[in-house]
Amino acid sequence: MAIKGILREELDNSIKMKADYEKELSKLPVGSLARRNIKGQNYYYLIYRDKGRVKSVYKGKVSEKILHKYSEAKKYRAKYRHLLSRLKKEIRFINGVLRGKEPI
Amino acid sequence: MEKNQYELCLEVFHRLDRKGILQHTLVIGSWCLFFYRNYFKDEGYRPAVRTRDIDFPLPLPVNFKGKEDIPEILKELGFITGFKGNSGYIILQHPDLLIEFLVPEKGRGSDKPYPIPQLGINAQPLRYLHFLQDNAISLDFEGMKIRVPHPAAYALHKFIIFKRRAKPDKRDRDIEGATRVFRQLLTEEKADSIRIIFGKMHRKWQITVIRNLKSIGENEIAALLQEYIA
Repeated sequence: MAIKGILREELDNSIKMKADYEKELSKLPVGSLARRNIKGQNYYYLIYRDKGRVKSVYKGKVSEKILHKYSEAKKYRAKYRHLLSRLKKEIRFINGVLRGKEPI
Repeated sequence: MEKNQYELCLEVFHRLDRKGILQHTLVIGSWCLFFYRNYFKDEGYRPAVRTRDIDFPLPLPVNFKGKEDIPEILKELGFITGFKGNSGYIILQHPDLLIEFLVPEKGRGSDKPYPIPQLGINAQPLRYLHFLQDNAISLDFEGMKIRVPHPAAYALHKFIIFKRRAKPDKRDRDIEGATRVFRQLLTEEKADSIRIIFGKMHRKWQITVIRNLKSIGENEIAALLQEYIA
């Protein structure tokens, strides 16, 4: 049946895409930069999670380039996570449809 | 079409249009069935089911003069660059759309991707593609001109390539989409356009089309095309 073929094709695409989004997420720099203003000067800390614990590493003064890199990473991380969550739902949905009356 | 998908598709076209890329390409595959709604006067025309893939064929040589980076243009929309199969064809992926680029295959053909550095992509060479590119029309879509193959070219092209499909469901979809478009042309008394475009085909291709149609029992369409040869 054509519709089953389309669903199978879309399932394959979604599984591959999920792996690619996960890979893309892993390429982004970990954590985000937090600013502290001390006596009129900006100093930065890298905040990230390690095995469930929040860690903070002093980075001092950082260049505009680094700031931009972390701000872009934050933007894309949120975007990719959102799309990844949609893909996971979609994979579950298509799997369910294709399984039909077969036991789960 | 889902709202998300429609809006994303629209934004992709707008971005490619603003960069002057859209005019160099056309939309093929199941997505052009959607755009044929703007060609057929009959409001009863219903496009067949389509997948997320949008294929953009580019002519050879690629006569785009500027320097753009399509993956970068679409990155902000959430597209990521993936690679298809073992050959390394670039595919731009988003949960709502998959974008691929194609070029006409020449000579003996090759599995290797065709690099298009001026657009930051590569493309998959495909046989018979230039027939679609040579018979393109422009349709209005949300303030833009979208180029698609003429519906007659779309149908005739599918009547050739469905035999080359490895997967039976893809083959069935090709036949279903092509016969639907072909019959719609006849309903709207546009048989002349079929005759003209069929006439532009190489004789060997014409014979292949008729033979393929007979093999699936579409004798009525085969007989009509046979008249155009005689």
